[in-house]
Amino acid sequence: MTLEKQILEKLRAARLHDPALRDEDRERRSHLGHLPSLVPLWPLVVIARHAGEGRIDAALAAVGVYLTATSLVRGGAIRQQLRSGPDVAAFAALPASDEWLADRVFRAAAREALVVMLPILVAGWLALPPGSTIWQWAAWAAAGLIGPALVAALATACAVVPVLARWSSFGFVLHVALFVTAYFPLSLPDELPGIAWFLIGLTPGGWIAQILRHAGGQSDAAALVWFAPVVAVACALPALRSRLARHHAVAEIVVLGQQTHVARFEGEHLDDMPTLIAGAEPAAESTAEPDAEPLAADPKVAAEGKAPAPPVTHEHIARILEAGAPRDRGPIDRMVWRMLGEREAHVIEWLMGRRARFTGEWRAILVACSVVAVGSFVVLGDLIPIVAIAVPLILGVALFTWSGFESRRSGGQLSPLHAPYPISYAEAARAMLKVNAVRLLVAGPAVLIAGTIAGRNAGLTPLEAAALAGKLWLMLVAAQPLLVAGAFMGGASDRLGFRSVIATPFVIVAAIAWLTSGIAWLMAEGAEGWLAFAAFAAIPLVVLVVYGWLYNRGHVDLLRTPR
Amino acid sequence: MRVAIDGLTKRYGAYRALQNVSMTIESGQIVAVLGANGAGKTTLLRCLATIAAPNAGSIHLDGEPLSRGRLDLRQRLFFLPDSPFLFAWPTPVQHIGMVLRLYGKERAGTADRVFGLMEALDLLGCGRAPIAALSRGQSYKTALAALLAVEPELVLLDEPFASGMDPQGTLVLREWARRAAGNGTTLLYTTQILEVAEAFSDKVAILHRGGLHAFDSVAALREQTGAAEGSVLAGVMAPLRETGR
Repeated sequence: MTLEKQILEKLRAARLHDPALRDEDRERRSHLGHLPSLVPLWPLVVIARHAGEGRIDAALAAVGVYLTATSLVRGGAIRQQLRSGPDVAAFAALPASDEWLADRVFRAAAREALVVMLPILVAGWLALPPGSTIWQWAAWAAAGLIGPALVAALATACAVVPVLARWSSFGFVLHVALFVTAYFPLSLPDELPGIAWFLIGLTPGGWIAQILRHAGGQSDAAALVWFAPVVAVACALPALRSRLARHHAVAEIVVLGQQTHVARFEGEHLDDMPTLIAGAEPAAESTAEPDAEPLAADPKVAAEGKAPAPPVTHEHIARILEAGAPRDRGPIDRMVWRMLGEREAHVIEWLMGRRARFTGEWRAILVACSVVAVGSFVVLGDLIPIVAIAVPLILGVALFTWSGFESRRSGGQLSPLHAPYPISYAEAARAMLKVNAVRLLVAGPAVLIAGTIAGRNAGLTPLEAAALAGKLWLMLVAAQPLLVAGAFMGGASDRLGFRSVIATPFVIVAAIAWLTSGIAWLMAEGAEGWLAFAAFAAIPLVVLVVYGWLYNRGHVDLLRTPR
Repeated sequence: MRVAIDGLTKRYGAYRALQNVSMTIESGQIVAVLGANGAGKTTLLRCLATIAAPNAGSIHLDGEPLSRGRLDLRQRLFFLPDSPFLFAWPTPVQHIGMVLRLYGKERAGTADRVFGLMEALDLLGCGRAPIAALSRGQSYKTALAALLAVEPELVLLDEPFASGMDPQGTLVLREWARRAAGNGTTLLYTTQILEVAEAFSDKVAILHRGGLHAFDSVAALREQTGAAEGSVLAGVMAPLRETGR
């Protein structure tokens, strides 16, 4: 019996003898469970999409791309865990060896790799013809069993081989590509050409796809050939595991602020790590305010030989207190701050953590729109729906990020940063809506022009393209109250209890009505279209008002349990 | 500020964090809130700060019912959690400025006061650095400087004496609290250090598994328990280990 099990046994015995302890244990455990992760279902959706339209080849290829993408992403995750994950700081103060920590991360990654077994088996099963032989079934099962080992080995290799490590972010690109090819198939044929299979075979994940393809096609010998590299990589797993442990010998933990740290490995110097440090700690690098200066105790200051900041003076304090948030960062910034009242400006200063750079955002949107417009001449084709989604998403990053709603941990629970400070729902919502109105207004022309050009190149008439871009734009405007309410909802937990159950059907009906009216607005024309838009715009307003009522009357806690 | 808590009950799911807590704290009183881990101390402060909404009961500040919608009341109180809620990138001076503006306290002469507070708390040397580059104690003192600059009428401090502050910071807090209490400021703080609670409080509230076990001055508790010397609070709290809910 493990030590943990022995302790649990003793706790169980103690609860049996102490009713108060038993009650407390029951109360603390009586929460609704968390939703299970839906990540394993993602490749199944892609496979189902291809298989549903008879593209079994594409489904198998998708599995290959998925395995490669997953390996790259998990490799990056292993590196991140060992470099700046929570375990690094937690175990740094304990008598745990670096090898043990590396092995702990490796074992977790290996366990997580088991999820890839499901898509391999599902895609392979779809590829197997009726009346398959025992050898075909054996190849199918073996591919499913060895797939996780292949992914674990590749992920570990990505974590220890610097050249491969640079490709980890490419894994996300491959995941996006999977989605694109599944839902916007670009005229994929039922059977992929030989060149496509050749390219897929160049990637390690593609080897599994080749095995499944040849097993389904009754080419047992070919399937066996493709097993060779898979087995070879899987057999390298123990060696990669020990190399991971050797590679991640921690020289020191570089503490960067209250909750941020990075591990410096043996043989590395702080000078070699500026990107890592900048990525881990936004404060001291590019996002620091002009008034922020380095601190003598900051390791980067020591490493880079910067002069520490002089002590603050009375004049400095008077200047900062008088100045408020920086308002002269360009024409759009000046426009926003002029429009806000004094109190609203203070609230926005807090909700954006003084980081407001409205002009910079606007320039970024102009660049994004230019890329979309120019790109549409070259590659757009069937991708108009993606463009329609992408542009609002790009805007969304700018419009819906409010630093004041970030979570902070205190007393074992998470609260939004604004929670302890006197900011009311009404004034915050009003100020946020005003700010976003300006952002949408100034970015509107660029988005409409880019949308029109893109739509035109996708085969729409200029009028149709402009109308579609305009409609999508108005939808974004109409959704603002919902997004503002959503910012509050994200940091709060409802405590309506049983009343939530009663409210749920109304919420579902409202959500369906909202989506339906949005679709109707896109499809209908004339008065019917505008009626649909009115409904689409009204529902977010109702949500904003109703949630505000609940918020102000204490039907939500500004607390969430960390997961 | 007078604080009247009546029948306060707070549940997290089925877990009863506070159960029918009632007490009245007069203006200018310093109250130490004691109790074992999980007794409900932080929850009590969260309810007073309107971060957590009570399931039952009420809180009145100077006779006015407190709720999250009452911005006027919330601007008169200041809650400082054990881990202060700070942005990473502003400097301490910028943080203090932001807080002063939110509380509407950016009046003339504030710079003198902020300078004096930062000097007393030994923050002048790091006043230009981003908060992320500060130590835990320096971060806490930054948040404390903002609190002291605001001069709220109700101060809620969660474990201020286990915050990583240096003795100088602790001294500044205690001296300020005594002076402010003389002017009517009410202060509630949680602590696990019984000696601090005995020496630095007008009244002590002892919570046990969500309920209010005792609420009185140290002298009155000494009389009730008949303790002649040594820690009174240790004597009061010792039997709680055996008490059920």
